Amino acid sequence: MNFDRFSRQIILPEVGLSGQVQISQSQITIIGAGGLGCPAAFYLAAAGIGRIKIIDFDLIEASNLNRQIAFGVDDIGKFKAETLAKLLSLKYNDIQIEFLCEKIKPENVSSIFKGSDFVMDCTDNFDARYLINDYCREYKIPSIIGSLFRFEGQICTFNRSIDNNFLEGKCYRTIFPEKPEKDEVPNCSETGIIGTIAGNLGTVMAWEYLKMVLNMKEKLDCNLIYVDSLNHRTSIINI
Amino acid sequence: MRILIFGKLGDIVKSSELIIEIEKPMELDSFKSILFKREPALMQEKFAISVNQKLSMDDTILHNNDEIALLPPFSGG
Repeated sequence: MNFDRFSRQIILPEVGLSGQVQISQSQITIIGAGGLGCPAAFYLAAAGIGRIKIIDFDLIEASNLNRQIAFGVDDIGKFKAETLAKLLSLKYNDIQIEFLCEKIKPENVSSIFKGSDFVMDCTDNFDARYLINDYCREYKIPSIIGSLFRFEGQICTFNRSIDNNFLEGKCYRTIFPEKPEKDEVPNCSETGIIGTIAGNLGTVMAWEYLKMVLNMKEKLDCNLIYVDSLNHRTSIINI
Repeated sequence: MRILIFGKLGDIVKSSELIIEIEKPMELDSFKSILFKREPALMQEKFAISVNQKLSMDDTILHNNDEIALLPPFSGG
């Protein structure tokens, strides 16, 4: 890989050439190519993540376009994962981009995550969230989980601890043990969302993953972040 | 005590923050009774609670100058 396009991040002491090599050798599976997945995938591809696998079964709708910035009016009706992957591949032909237009279910979760070093959960429903979380916990796959509510965002980070004792089993269920019922927690179609909120949170998720790849001391590990973009409040909670 | 409210809980209490004074240290479980008496609609909601930026259990001891956050799950992506 030619590193010319990364020159502005390589000069950062926190990255350097060795850090860029780490980035280029890393691989991530992103579940959800929507409001969070689009900006996250874009910034990770721009940063030079070596392999990005994008999973989403959904088709693009008009109501997605205010925040799912990889898609335009001419993309309505196409598969999100395929459209995002193809756009990234056009822009960044020096990294590996894969996609799968499938819904994550108990029957296929193993095959979807086969070979995954890291999972980024950008889904919009709790069935997927708890399935992904439980699999990652059982198979000790580090993950970042993001979700939105109106002008607010929530990120959970679960990385391997240095001594490889996977955070004493901590995971999303440590915070929210039981999956909410169907109508308990509203999603974007019910509460509304402005694109900048999704873009901001997806970007933060991408940045937290890069911090983990670079093993920066400032990385958030086993933390829960609440971001209130309306009032500019951020709370970082230790899990 | 300063109580930060997130997500739909803010819609319920109609504020992003509450102030509740306690006269003496108490367990989080006891504090919840005070909270639910003030905001009964919160009893129907599921949320985690942090005390001074640490996820907390019912036996965590609270002091009047602590910062609490009510943390509901979010769904959107």
